[in-house]
Amino acid sequence: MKKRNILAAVKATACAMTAGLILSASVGSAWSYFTTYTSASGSHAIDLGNETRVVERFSDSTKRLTITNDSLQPVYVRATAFSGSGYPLSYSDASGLWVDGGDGYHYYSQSLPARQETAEGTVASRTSELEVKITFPVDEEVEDGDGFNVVVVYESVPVRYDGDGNELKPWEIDWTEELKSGPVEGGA
Amino acid sequence: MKKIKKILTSPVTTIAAFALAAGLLLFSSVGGARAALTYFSDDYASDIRLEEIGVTLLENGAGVQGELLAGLIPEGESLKFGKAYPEVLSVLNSGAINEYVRVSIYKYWTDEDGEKLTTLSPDLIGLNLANVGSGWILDGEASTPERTVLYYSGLLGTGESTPAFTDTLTIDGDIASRVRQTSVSSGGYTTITTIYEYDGARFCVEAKVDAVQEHNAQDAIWSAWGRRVTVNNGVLSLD
Repeated sequence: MKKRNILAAVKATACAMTAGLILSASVGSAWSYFTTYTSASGSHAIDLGNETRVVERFSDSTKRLTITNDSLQPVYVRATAFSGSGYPLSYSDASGLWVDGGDGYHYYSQSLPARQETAEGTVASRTSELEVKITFPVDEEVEDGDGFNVVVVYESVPVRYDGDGNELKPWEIDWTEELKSGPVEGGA
Repeated sequence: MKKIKKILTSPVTTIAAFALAAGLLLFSSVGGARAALTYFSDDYASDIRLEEIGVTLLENGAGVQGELLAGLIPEGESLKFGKAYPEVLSVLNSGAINEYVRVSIYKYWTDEDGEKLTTLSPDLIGLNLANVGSGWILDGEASTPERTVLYYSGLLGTGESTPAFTDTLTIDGDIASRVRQTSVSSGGYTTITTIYEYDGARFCVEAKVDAVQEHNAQDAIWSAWGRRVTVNNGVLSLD
């Protein structure tokens, strides 16, 4: 019984000494050197959502296209149209701002600025009109009520800049750049 | 033996032992008090001065108080993808002793609530490093796509500042081609909606500057920062 008491006392003393050594060792290293630090952080939000709309007016075998940008992001736009092979299309533009890219698309040579908030409300930016005229074969008589299709396709992308902050020209960016997407969510 | 036991257990012996212990205790206290008195001398003034170590992060030449990128985008302008915005970061020794410094830079994306978005790429936050190899040393072992660790090789004297370790910040225009698509099928049609993956995300930059004393810097850096370095004639290099 006495031996057990002695052993317990020895154990308790050893534990206390070990704890003391550990504590004193950590205190010693914390006081050993002068150190300091400072830190700072910052962030900004990315706004990529852009919403463009096309407005078409049709008369005299001609579609007149206007594209508006109603978003907070300036964008580039381009447009093209398709019709049957026997009905060629021709493009014209009174403003001179639409440029034939030689790839079937017409590029609006200026960026469409972000929408403006004014006292009267939100004002969207818009392109000038691009006219797409369909030409019917000379030997074909067109009558009222005849149907035909001219399909208009337009695209927009956020404006890109060079390192100095200057806008790239719409035809200088890679419109064919493949979108990088993860797995498609949902589906049948 | 019995006689000795009888003497030890007798009340007289106990009282005598108690009196002896009390006397010893009293005398030892008085002795201690007397000993203390002998150390008193004339008035003596002591001057103890604690060395002050200090460090300040400089952004475009101005000291930073916790917030970075505050003036990155000019008033009335939106962020331009691809533009290299000036983001010149350097370190000033604002303390009273010479020091060695290191910098840890973190780049990452968060949602609007500040939650980190680990699926978005830090590589699209282009914080361009400057003077690496000419003053600043890149610690490749400690660096990741999200974290960059740099050591300044020189001893930074009081009031001195380092050369810049970054010079520009560019958000890669490639973010406009990163999308997420959802597909919904209904009535024989499948509608695929494409959403910009980075739309609404926030890009974040954090910079932490550590400083350590000049004296015994090699051991101090190992102890404080856990990095083995060699300091030779005031020039720090990574082991």
